[in-house]
Parts: sequence; structure tokens; C-alpha cells
Amino acid sequence: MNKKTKAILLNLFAVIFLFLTVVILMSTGVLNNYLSNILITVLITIIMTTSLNVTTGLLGQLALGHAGFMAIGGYTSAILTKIVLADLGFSFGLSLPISLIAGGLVAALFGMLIGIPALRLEGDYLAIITLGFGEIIRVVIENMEITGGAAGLTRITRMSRAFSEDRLTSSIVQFAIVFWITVLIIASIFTLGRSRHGRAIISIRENAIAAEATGIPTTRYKLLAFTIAAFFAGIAGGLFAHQTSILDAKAFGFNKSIEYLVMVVLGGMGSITGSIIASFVLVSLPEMLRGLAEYRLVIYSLLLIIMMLFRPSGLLGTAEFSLLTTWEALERFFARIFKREAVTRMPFQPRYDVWEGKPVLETHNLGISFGGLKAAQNINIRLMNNEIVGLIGPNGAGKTTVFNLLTGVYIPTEGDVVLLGKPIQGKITHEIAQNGISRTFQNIRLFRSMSALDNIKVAFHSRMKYSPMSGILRNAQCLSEERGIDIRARELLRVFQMENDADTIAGSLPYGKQRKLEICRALASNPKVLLLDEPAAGMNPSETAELMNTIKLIRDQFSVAILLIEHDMKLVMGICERIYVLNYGQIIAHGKPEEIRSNPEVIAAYLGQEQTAQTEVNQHA
Amino acid sequence: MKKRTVFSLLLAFVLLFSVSLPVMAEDTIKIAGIGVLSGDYAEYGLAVKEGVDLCVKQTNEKGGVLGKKVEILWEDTQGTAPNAINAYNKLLDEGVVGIVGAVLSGESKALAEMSADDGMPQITPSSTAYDVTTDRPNVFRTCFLDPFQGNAIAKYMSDQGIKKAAVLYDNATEYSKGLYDAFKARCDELGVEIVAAESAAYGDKDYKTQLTTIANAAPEAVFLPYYGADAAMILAQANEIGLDVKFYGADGIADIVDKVTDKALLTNVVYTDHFSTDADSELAKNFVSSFEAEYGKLPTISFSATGYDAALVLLSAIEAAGSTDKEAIVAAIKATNIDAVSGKITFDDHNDPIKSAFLLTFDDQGVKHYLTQVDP
Amino acid sequence: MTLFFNQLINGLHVGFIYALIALGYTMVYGIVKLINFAHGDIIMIGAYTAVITLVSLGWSTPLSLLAAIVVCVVFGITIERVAYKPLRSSPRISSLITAIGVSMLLQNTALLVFGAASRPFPTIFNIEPVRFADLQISFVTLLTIVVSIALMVLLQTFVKTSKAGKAMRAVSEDYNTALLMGINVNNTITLTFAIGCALAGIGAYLYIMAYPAISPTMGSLPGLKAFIAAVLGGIGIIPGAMLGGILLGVAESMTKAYISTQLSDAVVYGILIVVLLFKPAGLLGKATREKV
Repeated sequence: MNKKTKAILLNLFAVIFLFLTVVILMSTGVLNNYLSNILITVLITIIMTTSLNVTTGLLGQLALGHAGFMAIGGYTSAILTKIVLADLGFSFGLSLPISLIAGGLVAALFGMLIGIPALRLEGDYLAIITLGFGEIIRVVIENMEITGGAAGLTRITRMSRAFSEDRLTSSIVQFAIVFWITVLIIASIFTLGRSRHGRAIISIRENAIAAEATGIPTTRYKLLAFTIAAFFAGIAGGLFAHQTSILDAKAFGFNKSIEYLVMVVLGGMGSITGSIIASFVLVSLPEMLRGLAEYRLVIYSLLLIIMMLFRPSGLLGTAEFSLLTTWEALERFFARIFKREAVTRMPFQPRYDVWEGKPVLETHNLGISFGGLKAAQNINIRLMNNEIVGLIGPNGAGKTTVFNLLTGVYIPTEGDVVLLGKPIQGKITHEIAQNGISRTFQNIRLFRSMSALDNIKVAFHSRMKYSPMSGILRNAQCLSEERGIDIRARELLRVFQMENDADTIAGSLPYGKQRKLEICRALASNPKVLLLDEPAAGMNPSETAELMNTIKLIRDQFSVAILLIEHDMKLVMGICERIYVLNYGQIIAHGKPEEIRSNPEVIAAYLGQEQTAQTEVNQHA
Repeated sequence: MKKRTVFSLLLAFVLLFSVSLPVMAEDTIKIAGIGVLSGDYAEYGLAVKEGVDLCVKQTNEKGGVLGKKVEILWEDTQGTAPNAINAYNKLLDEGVVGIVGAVLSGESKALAEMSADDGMPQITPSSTAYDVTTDRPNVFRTCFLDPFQGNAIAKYMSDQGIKKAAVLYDNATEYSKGLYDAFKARCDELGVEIVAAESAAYGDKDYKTQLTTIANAAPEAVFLPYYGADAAMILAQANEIGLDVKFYGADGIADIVDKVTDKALLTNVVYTDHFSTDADSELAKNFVSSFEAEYGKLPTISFSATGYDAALVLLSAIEAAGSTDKEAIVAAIKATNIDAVSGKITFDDHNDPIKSAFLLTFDDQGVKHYLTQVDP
Repeated sequence: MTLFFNQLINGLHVGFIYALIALGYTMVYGIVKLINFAHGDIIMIGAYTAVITLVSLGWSTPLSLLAAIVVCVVFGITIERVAYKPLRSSPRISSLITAIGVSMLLQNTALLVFGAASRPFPTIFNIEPVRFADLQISFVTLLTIVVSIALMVLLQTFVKTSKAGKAMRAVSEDYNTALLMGINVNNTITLTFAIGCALAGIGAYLYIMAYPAISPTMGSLPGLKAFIAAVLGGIGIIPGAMLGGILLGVAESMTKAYISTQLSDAVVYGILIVVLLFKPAGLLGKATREKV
């Protein structure tokens, strides 16, 4: 056995060991009723905080109504075991799992409902909406017959007594059930976070616009995150109901949601390990300091403020316990045993051959007006295969607007765009990205806290097929696709001499490399047309020269058509085969660099607008 | 699995013996006090605590129970069910033989759920909701019930010649809803017409809309099954919109005096209480004077009296049972027939005390005055 | 019909109080893009100041009103300087969480200091209600409406015409440009908090005259409602806050009177959600999109 395998086995058995230790401590009475009940509360809290971490940590949206999902799950499963399944004559051992899952599903349904406003609203507004939903859930439960109304639901079968005549045995079974459900949920959130779906969710947190432009269907993933978080909270609610045997809607109000949020924030938004530690500490500490009960919330709120002022990322930030490396090593280990080294090949398809000599992108009289103001009109652009074309014009001429029209960020009010012979009218940004137009941004929009490698992997998203479920299970399909893109992403970085930066956090890369990484990410979604928005902005002359070579290299290696916006005339004149000149939202000139240079209309446009640009044009004339 | 179960069982037995031996050997009898001592409803829990502590102190001064000193261990629930369960588990491990508590109906139910499994004697001094004691032979109470109060008020109202009544209540609070249901049922029987029944959302402070609707229906009296703070707010707002009728309440508004600045408004209020400081029994007088001596104030919240009684019933039962055996204590409680501070206490089949309600009103200084007594 | 108008008056009364509180939210949000969750608790602070100075210290009504305003302003400015200012350039979620933390801190500290039991507030004006035929409007209602309208007009004039008001609008429009234009952004933000909190102090006084019970958690509900009112009208816009507050108050009152008292909160949140779905920037708000 080598060192690595040893580490894996050690870690795997750590969980089992933890479990057995608790069981032994319980049977010997060291963990009495009181302590083991608190332990159950800790575990349920862990489910709540780790699931809240999906929306708040991974997706980056503040959710203030998480306890509402717990209430839904709790009431659903309690009603099921207490009324429905008991009437059908099910035993508790059978009805518990059914009711837990049902509770999770109903909560997930509501999570999805709440996710719908999330498609349109963000940040503060969404926070208020989730708060509102949480309160509505409470009010409605309080006024329904089946939930016991104001009196709440009582006499729900208790797990700590229901499994066996013997108290201890039943308590141990309760612990076993809650423990393994918690472990399963943590593992699921963990693996999901590592899958393409998890990366998609995180990329929305990092930069929603870039995520969409990279081909991530952001609305779908916001919904997914809300639904998953609600599902797990629902299960936690079911467990809670069968732990305490009594449900009262008032217990699931705003304060409860805030309490869970505090734990997530203190542990570190995005860190599951942090949530687990925070849950453990913040549930058990007040029990130990019962005498200080009055000060508990004062201390919580002070902690919250101090944490935000001095360590806004929480205790652990987004760091995780080394379980991850362990997990992946474990997979490799099993793969070796079962000979599952499959790699799904993810080639860059040469999609261009058939378009030899034909336009890959054409616009016909494209235009948009914002409330009467024509920001762009009569834009007719044509990009041939393997061509590098420049789009220049004075500031405010509408260059970026044209990019936004091409990528569906703005919906054109007139004209249409034809990509590879097919109109892409009515398609939304991520679909257009998947169809073959990708772009970079004037102000760099990287997924800043993800590694360079992961930035690129996000762009591979739409080329992978595996489902969220296989992401959670990390089955053969998932692993082989992941291996495939890992190889591809590293190859791509190598093209840009960035292979050594693969694991560097994107936000900490030097400026020039961030620009390159953004181009790299745009290429990863396998585009036919690459739109570069001021790629040389902020670069010094030697960096610009290097960039020129890179752009040519991209064209040769990836056979894409490139349309670039640039103010650096040296670069534009140096590499563009043709140039479009835009002024006041219209194309005023079009032609080869030398024709543009001598075009009097262009000179006038720049003269009228910007002295420096004019001199630049002359300099290169 | 089976082997481990057997193993754990063995261990548990060993442990049980090792734990129970020192408990038997101790020279105090421990009882538990569980209830809300902090948070929104803390004043009710603290009133109970004062009554219970006084009873325990007096018992110890008289030599304790079974020749041992009584020790009361308090745990705060902050009014929530999970905390009540934790408190129970904790105190159980510390060897208590009986419980006084909990205070609010919700936490009492959670507690009863646990204690019923163990057959642990439990007496709540203040949970008036009907089903706290249902199917739980070990759970008793020393206060009367919501249905009884609702009945009593409806009866008294009808006796005063009121034919048209209105209700403002909170559908989302068990206490309020329970009282309303009983009140309505009795009014229907007595031929008192309920001209308006308006509910307000939990935590709401603006009752003017509801009061306007009520005023529009022109009732002769309004029933307010609320706690003191809310009722005080309602009185002020009713005054503002010019609704000038009699207001009736239940034990929850016993603490209204401190919440109202314009005490004259209180002269319109009549309510049912568990205890009156005007009560003329010897025990009650002694209680009031020793309470005043101990705490420097009158027991204005009647849960101090019912708390005293709950402790008294429990301690007398332990004495009567002659041991700290749970079953014996429960049987002794069931057989209780004592004169207590809030009246004579015996228990019916549902473990509720058969005792009278006091109807009280206020003068324009906010001093409570005894009106009459309603017997079950 | 009388009933309807009486209910409308009830709605207007509560609506104007919401509007007054909403102004504080809206001004702060407009300028620093922060939901000041603690704004409702500033009202609680003002209410306690009022009751302590008026009842315990025996000050006169105008003096205790002044005290409430001053204490609210001091708290507001301190909170802004200590808790919010250092986070101005952090992610929005951090400052929002801080605001929640400040709100919890104020509530729970008040709980420790004053206890959970609510305190009554004396009736200050024992003036007969004004009657028109069957309608009757209590003096407090009338006072609330008049004071609120006066304050809103004053505020709007201040923001539109004064130099400081123009600075506020400039900072709200573009923080960085305002900074470059030589506007003292820090002072402007502090002034905004001060005005918002002064309004909260007056709002607190009007609130406890209508609902005379003072408790540590009393601020959260009106605070939340006022915030919803601000969002409803279009947060950051002063007339929006007024419109939102009045609409919310009337909607609430009408729901209670004619639909369901129990579900009135649910209806209010429902209205908010629906409005935001169709007009994400609120009724008077203009949709802005992030520049790509």
C-alpha cells in the first residue's frame, strides 16, 4: 500500500470511526439523553447550513427565508407519518424514509417557486422576496386546518423512542439515521459543487454576465440551486419534526432563518467545512453557556458585525478540508481497481472547412434604439472564415453595442444576425454562445475567485452531457467527461503559455494574463466567431506586440473568425485584414487597412471627436 | 448489530445502576422547574418561578419532604419546544423526581410528550390549552382551562344582560383561538349574538381596521382573548376610534395594569383570573403576605399563585406517596384533595383541577377588584 | 360607505407612518445602495428615548421629541461611521449582513437593558376627534398626516434646491464621479443618514402615539413594512417612498377590512412580489441595466 492509498483509507474510515465512537459513547452512557439529543440538533443544523450554503455561498444570493423550507418539509413529513401513512398501516421504519423524501420534494417545489422571482431579481431585492416568502409560509401554515393551525402539530412519532422498545437502541438508531443522512447530504453538495453544474452555479456568483456569455444557462442554474437547497432543508425539517415531536410555525420565522445565515456567514460563505464547524460550535456553545442565554443573541450579532468588518469571507472563506483531494484520490483508486480510466474525448471540432470562402457571420441592417435614441442602425457586417476584422470608431460610436447585439445581451429592435447560414434571432445569450459566438469584455469579467483552470472548465459546460444526479454520484460518465475536459483545458492553457498558472486564482493573476485567460475561456466554448473587446487595453507596447502574435496564433490554431474592437491603431492596422469604422451608431467606412487610413470621412470622424485618435491615424498613414 | 445491541444494553444497565445509586443516597429531593424565563413571555415564567420558589422555601423551613430538603433546579426554555426537550433531558440526568412546568402551552406539550414516556410526574401551573393533559396520566395542571374560561365569561356576560357581543382575537395563537372557540359555543347556547368576530395577525399592532369593523356592528361588549400588552394597545385604539363598550378578557390580561397609562380605560374591563389578591381564605391571605415579604410586591400575575399550588401539590404528593417512586407520586397527585392558595384542588378524569374562576375588574387607579366567582 | 371611508382613514394613518419611515430607507439606499436593516430599530431607540424623557424624566413633549430626534441621529451616524463606512467597497452581501447584525445587536441590547415587557406611552393630546357627518378622524391621525406631508415637502425641496441636497443627488447618481467633482462624499453620506434618522425619530413619536407600546422588537415590523413600501414605490426615489407607504397602508387596511385580517401580511408580501416581477425597479423606478 502506498502513502496515498493509506491516506484515503484513513480518511474514509475517519467518518466511520466518528460514527462508531459516538455509538459507543452513547451505549456506555457517556453521551446521555441530553447530549445525544443536542448532537441530533447539531446534525440537523448542519444540513440546514450546508444547504443554505448552496444558495448563499455557491450561488451568491442572500436567502432570508431558509427556515420556511424547513417548516414545509417538517409539516409535510409529520402529516404523512402521523396521519396518512399511519392510516395505511405502514410501520414507522417504512413511513419515515417515505415522508422525509416527500417533505424534501414538497419543499423543493416551493424552492423552485421562490426561484422564479430570482430569475428577474438579484441581491437585495431577492433577499427581501425570500424573506417575504418565508413569512407567507409561516402565516399560511398557522391558518390551515391540516397543520393544526395555531396549536401546531403535536404527538408526532419520535425517532428516539419509536424504533425499539429499548430507549437506548432507539436513540442509537435515530443517531445512525440522522448521521448518515447528513453525511450523504454533505457529500452530495460537495460532489455537486465539484461537477460542471456546481461550476456553473459558482460562475453565476462570480460574474453572471460572463457566465451567460460563456454558455451557462444562468436562469436554469439559479433555479437548480434554489431547488436543491430547499430539498435538503425540507429533509432537515422532516428530521426535526420527528426529533421534537411538536411543530409550531412560529419557530420557523425570520429569526430562525437569520440564525442559520449567521452560521453560514461565520463559517465562510462557500465553505461547507466552515458551515459544519460553525453549526457545531453555535449549537453546542449556548447549551454549555445556558446561564448566558440572554447574551447569546447579543454575542451573535457582535460576532456577525466584527466578522464582516475584519474577515468578510468568514472563518474559512471558501476553503475546504482536505476531503476533496481525498475524494478524488479515492476515485482514482477505485478506477484502478475497476479499470475505469475512460476519458471522453473533447476535441475542438474543425467546423470551418465547409465555410471556406463563405461568410460565417452576417448581419443585415442590424439596429437598436433605446427609447428613441438610435444607438446603432443599419449595421451590415460580414465575417469570412478565418478572417481577422477590426471594428473601430471614436468613443461612444456604439462598438460595444454591436457586440452586445451580436451576443444577445441586447435584443435588436431591427435587422437580424445570421450565423453559419442560420438566423440566431430570438436566441438568448447562452444559446448564442453555445451556437458559436463567444466574446471577451472591455472590463475583464473573469470568475475571479475560481482557479484559471476552472474558469476554462466553465466554458466547456455545454459540451458535457452528464446530469446533476451523475454529478452527485460521480459515476463513470461524469468522471470520464471531467477527465476529458481537464486534459483539454490544460492543453488550452499551454497554447497561451499559462500551464503553470492552472491552479492560480484568476483574480490574482497579473493583468496581461487575465486578458489572455479571458480569451482562453472564450475559445474553450469552441466558437466559430470570437469577439474581442479592446484586448490591448492597458497593455504596454511589448505586451501589445505579444498579443498580436497570440491573435494570429489563435486564428491559425483554432480556425475562428475574429472581430475585434481596439483603439490601438498599430494593432488594428497590423493584424486586421479588413476594418469597419463606426460613428454615431452607423458604419461610415469599410475596407482594407490602407483604404481606411486614407478615407477622409474616417479622418473627419476622428477629428471631430478626438484629437489623439486622429493623430494616431495619421501617424500610421 | 444484534451483538452490539446486547452489548449496549448490558452497558446501559451497568450505567443505570452506577448512576441511580448515588441519587438514592443523596439527602435532597430534586424537583425540576422548566419554563420560559427569558424572551417575550418571560414575565409569566418569572411569575411562576417566584410562586414555586416561595413554596419550596416554605416547605424546607417546615422540615422539607420525607425528612429531606427539597432542591429545585430551574431551566429556561426561552419559550421554545426544542429547548423544553433539552431541559427535560438535562434535568432527568440530574435525577429529578418531578416537574413543575412548563409555562406556555406549546412548550408544555413538548415537555409532556417526553415526560409521558417516562411516567415522570409533571404539573403545569399555567398551560390552559385543553390537550396538554389528554392521554397523559402523568401530566396535571393547577390552572383552569381555556374552554372553562371562555364559558365563564360568556355566562357572566349573558347574566349582565348583554345580547350583542363582538370578538377580536388572534387566530394564529392557540390561547386566543381556544378561548374564542369556547366563548362562541357558549354564546350560541345562551342566545348571545356575536355580531362581529375579527381576527388580527400575530404580532400586529394596528387593530384599528378591525375595531372600526366591530364598531360598525354596534356590539354591547367586546371579548378580547389576548395577553396584557396587546389588550392594552387594543383599548387605546378602541378609545381613539370612539368604541366605548365593556371589554371582557381572560387570565392572559392579568398583567394589563402596567401596560396602560390611562388607567381609567380599565374600568370598562372584566376578566377571569385564577386567583384574586382579595381572596379571603386563610391560605390565600398568608400567600399574599409572605409573597409580599419575600419579593416586595403583590402577586399581581396569578401564575404566581398557581405556581405555588403546583409545587404544593407535587410536594404533598411526594410526602403522601412516601417515596420518590414515579408511579406512586403520580397516583398520589391524582388523589390530591387539598386546600391550596387558589382554592380547593381535586383532579378530574382529564387531570384538570376542579376549581373556580374569579371575575375581576379594575378601578380608575388600576387596582383589581373582585366581582364574583364562577364555579365549574 | 361610511365604513369604507373610515377604513380608508385608518389605512392613510398607518400609510403615512410607513411613508415617513420609508424615506429613511430610500435616502440611504439611494446614496450607498445599502438596505439599512437597522432603520426600524432606530425607531425603537427613538421610542425608548421618548418614553424615558417624557415619563421617567418628566420633560415636556417638545423637549422629549427633540431628544428622540437627537438620539436617533447620533445612533444613525455612529452606526454609519463604525459599521457601514469600512464596508463601502466590499461586496453588497457583506454590508447587508452587517446591517442585519446591527439590527440584531440593537434589538438584543435593548432586550437586556429594558427587558422584554412592553412599556406604555401616555396619551399626549387629549383632543376630541374631528367629525364630518358620520366620519370621524382622530387628532393623532390628522396630526400624523399633516406632519408627514409637511416633512415630505420640506425634504423634497431640500434635495431639489439646496447645495447639500444637490450633492446628495450627485453622490447617488455616481459615487466616483461625485468624488472627482470635489463633493465631500463622506459628509454627504453622513448627512443622509442624519436626515433619515431624524425622520425616524419623528416617525417613532408618531408611531407610539398611535400604537402606545414600546418594546425592544417594536421596530422590526414597521421597519420591514416601510422597507417594502420603499421598494414598492421604487427604492432611492423620494416620491416613490411616499407613494409606496400610502399604497401599502391603504392596501393593508382594505385587505383587513374586506379580504382577510389573518392573511393581510401575506397579501402585502404578495403585492410586493407581483409588483417586482412586473416592474423590478418599483412603481416609480426606472430600470437600469448593468453596463457590459
